[in-house]
Amino acid sequence: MGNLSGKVALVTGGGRGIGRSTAIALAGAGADLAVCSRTQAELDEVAEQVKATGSDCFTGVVDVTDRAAVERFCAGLVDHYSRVDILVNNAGGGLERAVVAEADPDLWRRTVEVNLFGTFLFTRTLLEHISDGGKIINVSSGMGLKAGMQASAYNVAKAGVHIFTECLANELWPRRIDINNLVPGPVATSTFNRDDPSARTPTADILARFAEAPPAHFPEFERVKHPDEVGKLALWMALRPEGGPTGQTFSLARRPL
Amino acid sequence: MAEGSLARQVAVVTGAGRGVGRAMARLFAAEGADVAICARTATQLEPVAEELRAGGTKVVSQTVDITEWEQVQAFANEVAAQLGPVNVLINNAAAGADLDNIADSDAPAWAKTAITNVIGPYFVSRGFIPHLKDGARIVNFGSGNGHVPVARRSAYGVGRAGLSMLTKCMALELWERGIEVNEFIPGPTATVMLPWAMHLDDEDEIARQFADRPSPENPSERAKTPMEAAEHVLWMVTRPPGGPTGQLYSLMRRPV
Repeated sequence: MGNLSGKVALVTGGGRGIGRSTAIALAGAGADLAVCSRTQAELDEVAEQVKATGSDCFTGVVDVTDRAAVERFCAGLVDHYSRVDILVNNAGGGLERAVVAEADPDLWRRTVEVNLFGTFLFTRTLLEHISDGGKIINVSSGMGLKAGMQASAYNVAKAGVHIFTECLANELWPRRIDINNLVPGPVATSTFNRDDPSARTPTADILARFAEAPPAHFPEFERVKHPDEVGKLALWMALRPEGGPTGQTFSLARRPL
Repeated sequence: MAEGSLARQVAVVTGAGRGVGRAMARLFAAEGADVAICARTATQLEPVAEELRAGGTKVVSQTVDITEWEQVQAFANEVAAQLGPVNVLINNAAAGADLDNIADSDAPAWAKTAITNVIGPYFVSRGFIPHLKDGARIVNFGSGNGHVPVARRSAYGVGRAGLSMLTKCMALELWERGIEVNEFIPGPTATVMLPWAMHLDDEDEIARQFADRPSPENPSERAKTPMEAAEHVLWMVTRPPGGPTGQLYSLMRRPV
């Protein structure tokens, strides 16, 4: 595998799950990291793991839908590192889980804001500081390519992320910035397990719960994977040479989308 | 020397007489695989087979028109008899993009292009599936033309669109054997298929003029070398078990 030493990577929603695995994978390849999430205790753990690889770690507590907080965090990041080479828009989640007829309009809107507006906001705020030849990786979902039920806000938001990635690819190639979607497929995260925030289930327990079969709304040939598998794909995407793919989707799903 | 990533494996590459197919045959051989190759044109295929054998690779090489079922079946049986169960199958052979309007097209030629691009890979898959090892990998070469309509490339686009659907159907049917099937779009590559080099048929000359240079049609695109595309396919077929299947991996630099 190649090398990211001298590069600066930001992972949003990097406190746990796919974001944390991605941050540690990028740090393991030599990148210095910036990580934000809503939970200080999780950020402290990630920072410790990143620093254990010998990389620097800049952290901040941020709600990705809060414009002032995002701008403050990004200003601090630019102050600290002066630029970003790799932006991983990972923060996301499904908050509204009712059918449309029963959906809470505020939760529906917040789901779109977290997944889509947050991705836009970090990209918009940092774009002038992203190095020419840099990479943007938007963590999307198979649900952005295929409708389900009881998750319309998440479906719509992730579909929006897909087209946003394509719009950006069309706009950013003159700066040699490549932007692609990453579709993880089902992953053993606290979000996937629908944990109550007060009691997060360990990854191993989630993997054990779905070792025989994925949840019923997935076909039997899907596999619930470890977040580190997604971190590895994100690292591979970050390591593509300049002039590599842009505006594309890289998926670990096992069902046609 | 470290063992290659395809050591003790058998890899089949169709359309291996030139271009990305030849690059994959070379790369897979260098990674330790026994290699089975086919193409329509013996004068292109034989030098590749000789080169690989000279490097110490076990090779089965056969002239095959993939639109002829009996020829494909005979090739698959011969490969299985000589090399044993197949670990990697690459449906790379394709017919070049047509350049006529539908209204002006020569009907038999149009049909032949479409057939070569979808029925050919189906024949190859149908012939080899009984000989695939459980856990094998299949990569089907797609094209942006199979996902986005392009005027005067309808036969090619229809064929590649069909192959994209075939990829997904095969993924749904073969997962129980651990066989993973994905589509790969190399994007523009410095081969005789490069749309802005159709006036040339010498690949060395095409590489000299166009490799690593932007597309005159779409400036975000760049013509890759055949080996760059081959290296991506090697990465795809060396993913751990339980990885992606029924997915599209693309090196394009425009949204598909």
